[in-house]
Amino acid sequence: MDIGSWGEIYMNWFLKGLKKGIKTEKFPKTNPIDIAPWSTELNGSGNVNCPTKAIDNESWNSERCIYCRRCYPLYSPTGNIDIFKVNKKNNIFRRSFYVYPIDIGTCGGCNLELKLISSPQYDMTRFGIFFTNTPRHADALIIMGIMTEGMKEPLLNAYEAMPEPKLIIALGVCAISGGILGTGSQIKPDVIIPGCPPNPYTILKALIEAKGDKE
Amino acid sequence: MIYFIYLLFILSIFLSIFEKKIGYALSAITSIIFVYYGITIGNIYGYFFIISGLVWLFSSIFSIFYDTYGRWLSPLFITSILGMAIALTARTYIEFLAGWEIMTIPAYAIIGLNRKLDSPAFIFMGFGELSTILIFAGFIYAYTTSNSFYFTALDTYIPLIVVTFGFMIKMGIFPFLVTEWLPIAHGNSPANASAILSATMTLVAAYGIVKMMLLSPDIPILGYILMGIGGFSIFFSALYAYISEHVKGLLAFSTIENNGAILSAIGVYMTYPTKTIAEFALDVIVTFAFAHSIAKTGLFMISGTVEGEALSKLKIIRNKLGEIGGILLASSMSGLLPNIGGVATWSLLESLFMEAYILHSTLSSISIITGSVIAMGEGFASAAMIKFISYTQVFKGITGKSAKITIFSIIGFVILILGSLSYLLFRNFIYGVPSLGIPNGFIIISEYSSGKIFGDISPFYVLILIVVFSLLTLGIFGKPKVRKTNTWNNGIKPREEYTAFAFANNIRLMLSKLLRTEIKGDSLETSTNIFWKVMYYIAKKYVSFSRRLARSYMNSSISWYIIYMILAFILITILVVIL
Amino acid sequence: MISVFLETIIQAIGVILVSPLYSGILDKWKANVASRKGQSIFQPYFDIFKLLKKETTVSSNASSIFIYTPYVVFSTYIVISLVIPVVYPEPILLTPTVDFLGGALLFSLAGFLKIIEAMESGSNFVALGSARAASFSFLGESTLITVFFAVALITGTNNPYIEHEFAQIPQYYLALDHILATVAFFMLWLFETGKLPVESSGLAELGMIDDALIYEHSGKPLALLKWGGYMKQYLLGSVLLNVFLLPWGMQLGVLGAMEDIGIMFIKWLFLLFIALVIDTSLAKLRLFKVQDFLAVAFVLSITSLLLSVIQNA
Repeated sequence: MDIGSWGEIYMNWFLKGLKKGIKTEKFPKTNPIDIAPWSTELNGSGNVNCPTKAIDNESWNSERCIYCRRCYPLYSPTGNIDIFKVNKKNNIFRRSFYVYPIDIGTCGGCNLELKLISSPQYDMTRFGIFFTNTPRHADALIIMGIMTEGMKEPLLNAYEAMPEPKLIIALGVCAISGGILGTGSQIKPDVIIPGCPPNPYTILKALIEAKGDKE
Repeated sequence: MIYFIYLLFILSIFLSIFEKKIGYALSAITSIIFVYYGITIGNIYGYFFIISGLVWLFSSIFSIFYDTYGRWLSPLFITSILGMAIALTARTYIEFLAGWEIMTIPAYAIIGLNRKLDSPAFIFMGFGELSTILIFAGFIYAYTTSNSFYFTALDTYIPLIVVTFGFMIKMGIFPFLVTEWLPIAHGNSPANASAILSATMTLVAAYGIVKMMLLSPDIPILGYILMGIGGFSIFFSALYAYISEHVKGLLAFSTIENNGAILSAIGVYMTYPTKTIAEFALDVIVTFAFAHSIAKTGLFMISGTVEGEALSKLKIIRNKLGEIGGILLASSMSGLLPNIGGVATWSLLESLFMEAYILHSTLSSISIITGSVIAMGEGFASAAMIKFISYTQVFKGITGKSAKITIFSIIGFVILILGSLSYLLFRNFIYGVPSLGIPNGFIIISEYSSGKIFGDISPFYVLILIVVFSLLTLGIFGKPKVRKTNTWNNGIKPREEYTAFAFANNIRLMLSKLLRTEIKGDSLETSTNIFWKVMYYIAKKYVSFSRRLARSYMNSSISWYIIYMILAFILITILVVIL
Repeated sequence: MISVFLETIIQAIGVILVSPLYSGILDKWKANVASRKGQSIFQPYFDIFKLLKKETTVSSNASSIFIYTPYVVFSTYIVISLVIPVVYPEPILLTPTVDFLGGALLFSLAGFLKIIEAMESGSNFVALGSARAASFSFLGESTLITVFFAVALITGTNNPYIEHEFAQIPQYYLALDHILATVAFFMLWLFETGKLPVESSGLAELGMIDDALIYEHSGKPLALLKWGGYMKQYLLGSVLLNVFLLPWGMQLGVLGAMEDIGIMFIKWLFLLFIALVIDTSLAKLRLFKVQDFLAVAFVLSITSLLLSVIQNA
C-alpha cells in the first residue's frame, strides 16, 4: 500500500463514516435504483417442464417458482417486484416492528437477502423494522427454509414463546411450498414472500405492508 | 430480674431433654422477657440485649419445626444461649468469663456431634480457647490496675488492646481468617445452631469490645489499626463468600464481613475525631449489629429449609412468600435501602468519609482507603447474596409450603419494618425539612460537628415512596395479560443448567492471582488459603533460620562452650559491680 | 409552596417523559455515521407504546414476582429522579429523602431487583448475563460511591445541590481532583448504560451483559424495564453534566423549571456527541478486560479522593 492510503486506513470509523455520507436510497417513495431481474415476476407462454410445477397451464405460480431458468427464454422476468401477498397485518406495528428470523433448513440464500435489508442502501430501520434475537421481544416470525426434522420442535417453541399479537412470515419459496427439496413450514403463514432468493425490494415492501403502513 | 431469666433458661434446658418442643417454646418465651429487660435497661448495652433476645426468639421458634436431630441438640442449644445471656449481663470479669465458656463449650459439642467429624469441632475449640486466653490476660491486667472485679473505668489502655485482639479472634477477623475456622465451624453445624453462633456469639464479642472501649481512655492508633483490619477483612471475606460453594459457608463468610464492618465502626469511635462523629459511630455499631444479627438468622433458616449443602446441587422448595422474604433478607445483607442494612451501610460510609474530611491530613487516607475497600466489599456481598438467594429460592424447583418458610419470611418483614424504625437508633441525629414535605423526625442526618450536616437519609420515606409509586405505576399502566409457556432456551432442550459454580466463575478467572486459581483438567480450583500459604512460608523460614542459628552456636565444640562460660562470668561480674 | 410543588411535578415528569428521547437521538446519529438514514429519534417512544399493547408470555418457572417487580424497579427510578439535580437546580419536594450516597444505594437496589427477578425465569442465558452483571458490580458500585464522595469531600457535604453550586466556581472546576472524578464518572456512565466499549447491544446473545436481564420479558413489564433503562441513563448522565462537566446555566422558578428541560437538552447533545464518537471509534472489549476498564475508573476516583484531602493538608 502506498503512502496515500495509509492515512485512510489510520482514520477511524467515525471520520470515515462522516466522510462517506448517507447512502440510503429513497425507495419506496421513488423507484428502485437497480433491480436484479431474476426473483421478479415471470411472464411468457409455452409449455415447459417445470421441476416444481410452478408453470401450469401457461400461468406462473409465484409460490412454487425456484428461478431455475429452465423455462427461459419462453418465460422471462418483467422486473415487477410486487409478488408478495399479505393476508393479515396489524396496525400496532406501524412504527415499531421487531422480527425474529428462524432458519429451519435453508441453503443460506434467503438469510443473505434478509440480512441485506439492514444495509445502508435499503435500510429497514428507517421504517422501524428491527431484528431481534429472542422471540419474546418479537412481533413477527420470519421462517426461512424447508421443514427439517431437527427444527420441528424449536420452531413450535419459538412460535409459542412469542406474545400476541404476532405475524408469521414465510420468506422464500422453500418456506412456502417446500421448493425442490421438501415441504414448507408447518405453521400457516400470514405473509408470503416468494422468490429464490427473494429480492430485497420485495422483502422490504412486504414488511412495510405487513406492519400496516400504506405506501 | 436477671436471675429469674437465668432460672427460666435452666428450666427450659431440663425440659428440652425430655420434650424438645416444650423446651424450645419455653426458651422462646424467656427470650421475650430478655428483650423486655433490654428495653428497660435503656443504655447502649440494652440494644445488644434486644438484638440477642430477638435472635433467640426466632431461632427457638424455628427449632420447633426444624429439629429432627437426636436428643443432644436442644439442651446444648439452650445452654449456649444461657451462656451468652450470662456474658451479656455480667457485672464482673469472672461472670463474663463464666458466660463465655458456657457459651463456647456446648457449641463445640454441637459441631462435634453433628456429623461425628472431629476436625471442625477441634478447630472451633482451639480458636475459642485462644481467644479466651487473651481475654483472660486482659482482664487480669485490668484487675491489677483497678483492683476490682467489677467492670469499672480504667486508666490504662493495655487491657483494651489485649482484649480487643481476643474478641477479634472470636469474630473471625483477619489475620485469623487464615484457616477459615469460622466457616468450617459454622458450616458443619445444624442451621439453628449456626444461626445463634453467627448472629449472637459474634455479637457478644462485639459487645465485649464496646464495653471495654467505653471504660478505657482514648487510643487513636488502635482505632486506625482496627479500621484497616476491618476494611481488609470485609473485602476478603466478601470475595470468599461470593466464590463459596457451600450453603452455610457462604453465610459464615458473610458473618465475618459484617463483623469487619462493626470493627471498622469501632475503629472510627476509637480515633475520636470529634464528639459528634464518635456518637454517630456508636449508633453505627448498634445499627450494624441489628441489621446483621437478625438478617443472618433469617438467612440461616433459609439454609435450613433446603436439602443438600452444595449450592449447585440443592433441592429446593419454591414458595412465593419465601421468595419475598428471601429477597428482603438478601437486600438487607447487601446493604440496600429501605432495609436496615442499607441504613447501616450508609451510616458506616458516611462516618468514614466524614472523618476523612475532618482530619484533612495524610491520616485521612486510611479512612478513604478503608471506605473504598468497604464499598468494593459491599459490591461482592451484594453479588454473593444474589447468588445465594437465586440458587436457594428462585432459580428452579418445585413449589410447596412449609412452616419453616413462613418463619423466615416473617423475619424478612421484620427487617423491612426495622429499617423504618431505625430513627430510634439515631436519637441525636433526627431532623426534618417541613418546607420540602418531610416533617420533623423523619430524617437521619450525619453531622461532623453540631450544625454542620454532611448527608441525610430517610428510610421510612424511601419505603413509602417506592410503594406509592409502584401502585401508581400499576394503576397507570395496568396489569399485563399473562400467558405461561416454556422457557426459551434458543430452541435447544435444556439439558444443562447454569449452576451456582458457574455463576461465580467470572471472578475466579478475573482475580486469579488473588485466588490462586488453577485449571486442572476440566475443573477450576481456587484456594482461599493464600494467607495460610504466606504464614506457612514464614513459619518454615523461621524454623530453618532458628535451626541454623542454634546449630551455629550450640556447635558441640568444647572450646566454644568454655568461651561462653568465661563471657557469662565476666558479664555477671560487671552487672554485680554496677548494680 | 405551590411553586415548589409545580417544580417537583415538572422535574419528575420531565425525567420520565424526556429520557427516551436521548437514546433515540444517539441511535439516529449512530445510524447516520454508519451511512444509513436511520430510525426516527422518537423510536424508543414507539417501541414502548407498542410493547404496552402486547401480551406477556412468562416461562413456567416464573411466578408473579417476575411479572410485578418491573413496576417496583420503575418506581425506584422515579424516586431517584426526585432527589438529584437532574432538571431543577434547587431542592424540590421530597428531595431530602436521600443524599448522594443514598442515591447510589438506590441505584444498587434497582440493579439488585432486576437481577433477582431475571433469575426467576430459569433461563440459562439470563443466568449467564446475571452472573456477568453481578461480577462487575463490585467495581461499578464502588466507583459510583467513591465518585460521589470525591465531590463531597471538597464541599464538606453530601448534598448534591450544594455540590452543583460549588462546581460552578472556576478554580474548583479546574482542580485536578475534580477532573479525575469527572473522567472516572464518565467511564462509569459508559459501563452503567451499556455502551461501547463495554457492551454492544447487538444481536449476539453470548456477549450480552445488561441486555440479558431483559431477555425473557415481554409486553408491559418489558416496556417498563426499557423505560427504566432510559431513565437510568438520563439520571446518571444528568448528574455527570450538572455536577461535574457543565454545571452552568440552570434557571430558577417555575418558568425556569420548564426552561431547564430545554437547557438540559442542549447539554445532553454535547454528551451524546462524545458518546457517539467513542461508540463509533472503538470495538467492544473482551469480557475480562471490562474489569480493567472499571478498575481504572475506580483507581482514578480513589486518587481524586486522596488528592482532595491531602492537597490542603
